[in-house]
Order: sequence, then structure tokens, then C-alpha cells
Amino acid sequence: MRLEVLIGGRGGQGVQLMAKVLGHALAIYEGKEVVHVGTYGAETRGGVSIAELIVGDCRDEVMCFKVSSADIAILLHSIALGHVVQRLKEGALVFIDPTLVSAYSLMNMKAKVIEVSSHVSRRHGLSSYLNIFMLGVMAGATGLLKLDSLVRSVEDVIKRNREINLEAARRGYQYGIKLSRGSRG
Amino acid sequence: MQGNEACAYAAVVAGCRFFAGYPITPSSEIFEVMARELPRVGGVCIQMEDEIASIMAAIGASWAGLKSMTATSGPGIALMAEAVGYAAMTETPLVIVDVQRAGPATGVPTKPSQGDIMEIRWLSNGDYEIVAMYPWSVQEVVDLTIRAFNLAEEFRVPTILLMDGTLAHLHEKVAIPSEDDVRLVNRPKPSSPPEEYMPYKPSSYLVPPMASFGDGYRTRCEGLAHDYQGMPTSSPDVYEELVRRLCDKIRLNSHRIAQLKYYFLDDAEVAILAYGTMARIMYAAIRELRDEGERIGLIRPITIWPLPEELSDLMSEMKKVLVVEMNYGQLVREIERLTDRKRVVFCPWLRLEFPCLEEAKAMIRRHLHAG
Repeated sequence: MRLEVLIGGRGGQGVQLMAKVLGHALAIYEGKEVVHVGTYGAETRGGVSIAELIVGDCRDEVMCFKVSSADIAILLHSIALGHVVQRLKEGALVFIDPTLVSAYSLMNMKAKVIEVSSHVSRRHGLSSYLNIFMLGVMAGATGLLKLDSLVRSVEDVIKRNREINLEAARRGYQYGIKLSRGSRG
Repeated sequence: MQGNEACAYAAVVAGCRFFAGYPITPSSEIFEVMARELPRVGGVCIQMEDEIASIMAAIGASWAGLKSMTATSGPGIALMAEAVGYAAMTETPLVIVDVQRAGPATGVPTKPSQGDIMEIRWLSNGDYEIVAMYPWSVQEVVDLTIRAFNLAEEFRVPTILLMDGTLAHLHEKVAIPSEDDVRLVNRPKPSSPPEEYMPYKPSSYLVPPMASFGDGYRTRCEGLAHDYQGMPTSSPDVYEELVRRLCDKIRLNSHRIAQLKYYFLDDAEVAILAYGTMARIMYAAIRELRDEGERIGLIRPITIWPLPEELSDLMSEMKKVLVVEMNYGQLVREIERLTDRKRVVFCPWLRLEFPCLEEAKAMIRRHLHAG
């Protein structure tokens, strides 16, 4: 099955790193075909940063690498809002941090907005690791990949502050599972 | 990993031990990886003051016996123009990576393009041939980087690996082979004793054996028209033989060099001709359009220079050939020479990003049913 994932934020938030961790986890540990393209400005901080991922079961499904109607989106900053909302599929799952992105701005979209309060990551002292935390939340809530795949990918891809990133991934995943149960119940 | 990284790792596998460059978006990661990897295998990576010095350093290293490479983008290629002619004339094995960005001039540095197709072909004054290849996936970047070194060595010719800003930064799963798993070609070496060696006397397949400086042979790296000894000459006989050979060593061996692939042509009435990253978008669009009943297929030249000879035969069976390029008309002119011009329809794409699936399908449909 072909799936389109869009991650948007501000340069420096770790958008491209999230995509790298996610793509690596899916390609290496989940046996998927994945293609990821990053678009970002010349600045290392600030500016719009967008990562597009196409996930498929076979090579033919990932030949086109452009996201045109995303099934899943993670939005880390309102600066990327315009780039994300115009490429959402009807019924897409959109994960946002409501302190950085107003849920109101997504109100007219036929998407399901999942608010991930940054208080949760902050409570665990993980506010600087919001990107990996959010990735964990998305993974846990959608079941797109197993926690083990995510953890092994973080271990492979992230060299600095690995332990705390691993904690962010685990906590996020658990929180994501909790969210999905809550939405079902 | 991304296309740029894959290119650098593959170069090391191919035996590259010298890289000289000047950083430029969107090619810089090649330089970064080479700076890290080459010292680990006993190679040298050096930043020069500009692209002219970079390619000249790479030419020098090649003459010292190392497989060498430089990487840049369109504006850097423009600066390397004179040196490419020098490499062609001196028959220097060399790999040049051109990660294309939107031009002309400094253009749009972070946006992709396929606008260097003619630039790389006609860099220098005079008559000569080069080899250029354009992959469509990160795995193919690996495979063609290795092949670029092999061809550069075998034919003693500057060989260009084309990418674009998107492919360079596209992340995909790749398998980097080990040196034991790939066929590596080294430049032909002289077998004659040093006193009999003539550095530009061709072998049976028109390529002269190459002694490196320091090998104990008297050799010359000569950019003036030269005889077998490498001595400058203005003799018309020697000149004609030399220039014919510089071209013919590629033209007459093009069946060994040129590659193409085609898809869904069995029942196709219309073919789309596209290359590199654009070809892969077209492939995805064609798959969906075929499900809607359109009888279309894809022809993808992998070698851009020299163009594969089978192109003419493949196109002769089509009612229409849509040439899709991310430029305002470059390879299409060459394609028109290979087939009935009336058959060829040109579809330029100048939107600074490759089309998404819907845009690609809309573009094909528009041209498919027009006229």
C-alpha cells in the first residue's frame, strides 16, 4: 500500500532528521520501500523546512517521490502551514503541537487534527527533543511502525544525545498509543 | 542515504583516491563525504580556490596515477570548460559530477533542473567526445558512478555523471557494493619497454596505453595538437588523425558505452522520452495512465552522450514521441535528428520542482490528445 507522509516545520526544529529516522526505520527495519525528499532554505535556522516521504510495498509505488495528498502529516510550526494544508488528503491525520500551531487554522480542513501538547514532552524534560517525541507519537498512534524499529533507527541515525532521543521516542510512542486508545474509546 | 552521499561512497569503491573541489549547492555533500572518507583509504581530498583549479588538480592527480574526481553544479561546470577540453585532448581519465540546478548563471541554487545537457556536451572549443550518464534513483547513482570511473579509465576520457538538485538530496535505500563485488577497470598501461613507448600511439580500440608520471616512462601531457610522442605539431595529417581518433574512440565504441531502458513499449503507440529524475516521474504517471487505457510507454536514455543508437529504431515504431525535459529544449533537438521530426512533440517543464503525479499526468494527457 502506498502512503504519503508530510512533515513541516521551521529550519532547526529537526524536520529533516525526523524524516531520516522515519525513512530509515521503515526501509531497514520494516522492509518497506521509502523515498524521502527534503526542501529547505539556505538558512540553518528559520525558514520553511518540509520533508516528503512516500512509503510503499514495492519499488513501483515509490517511483513518484512527490507528496500530493498526504495520508499523515506532522506539523511542528505554523510557518509551514501553507505548504502542508494544501497537500492533505481528505481524512488525513495531522499531528500538531498546539503551542506552535493553532488548531483553529486547520479547522476548515477535512483532516483529523491530533493535538500533542508539548506539556507532555516538557514534563519529561524532553522539550528540546520535540521532533523525535512527535515522531514517536505518530508511530504509536498510527501503528505505521513498531516501537522496536523506531528505537533501532534512532540508534543508527542519531549520534549526539542518543539516550535522551531514545527516551523521547519511547515516551512519544507510549503517548501515541494512549491517544489512539482514547480516540477509539 | 541521499544521492550525493551515495555518489561519494561509490566513487571510493570504484577506486577514486583523489578529489579536488570547490563547494557549490546542490553538490556539496559529495565533497563533505569525500573529505571524510578519502583519508581513511589513503586518498587525498583537497579544497581548491575555485572550480578551474579543482579540475586542473584532478587532471594532475590522474596523470600521477590516481583515479580522480571533482564535483560541482552548472556554474562550476562553466568555469571548468577549458579544462574539460584539455582533459579530452590529453586523454585524461577523469570523473566530473554535475549536480544540475536552475540556470542560467547563478540561477536558483537550491532548485533542480536538467539544463546542463548541452553545456556538458559542448564545453570546449574543437572536436572531441565525452561520456555522460544520468541515473534516476539513488541505487543507480551508485552503479553509474562506478561505471563512470570504469569508462573514464578504459577510454581515457572525461566522463560526466549528471544529477540534479532533487536526486542529489533524495533519500533512498541503497546497497553499496564492496570492491570485491564490482568489476573495476583500470586504464590501459604500456607493455612495451620504456625506450619504445609512444604516449599517444593508439591501441587496437583507439585508446593509447597510459604511463603515469613516475612509472619510468617518458610521457607528455600535451594540450597542443601532438604526434604519437606527444610533441606539438601543426601537421594536417597528424592533426586529422588525432581529432578523428579523439571522437572515434567514443563514436566507434558507442555500442559498448551507450545504455538505455524502455518500459511498456509492447503495445504502445506513443512513447515518452525522458531521462534522469524526470523519467521516474513519467514512469509513475505512465503506469496510471495505462490503467486508464492509454497505450503509452517510456524510453529512457541512461547514457546521454553518446546517445544510444537503438533510439532511432524504437522511435520509428511510435506514432508520437513526447520528449519531456526540465529545460526549454535541449536533448529534443538531438532526438529530432534521430527520427522523423513530425513525430516529436516537446514538453518543457520549467517549474523549479519536478512535477507531481497529477501534474505529470495532466501534461501527458494534454499533449497526447492535441493535434
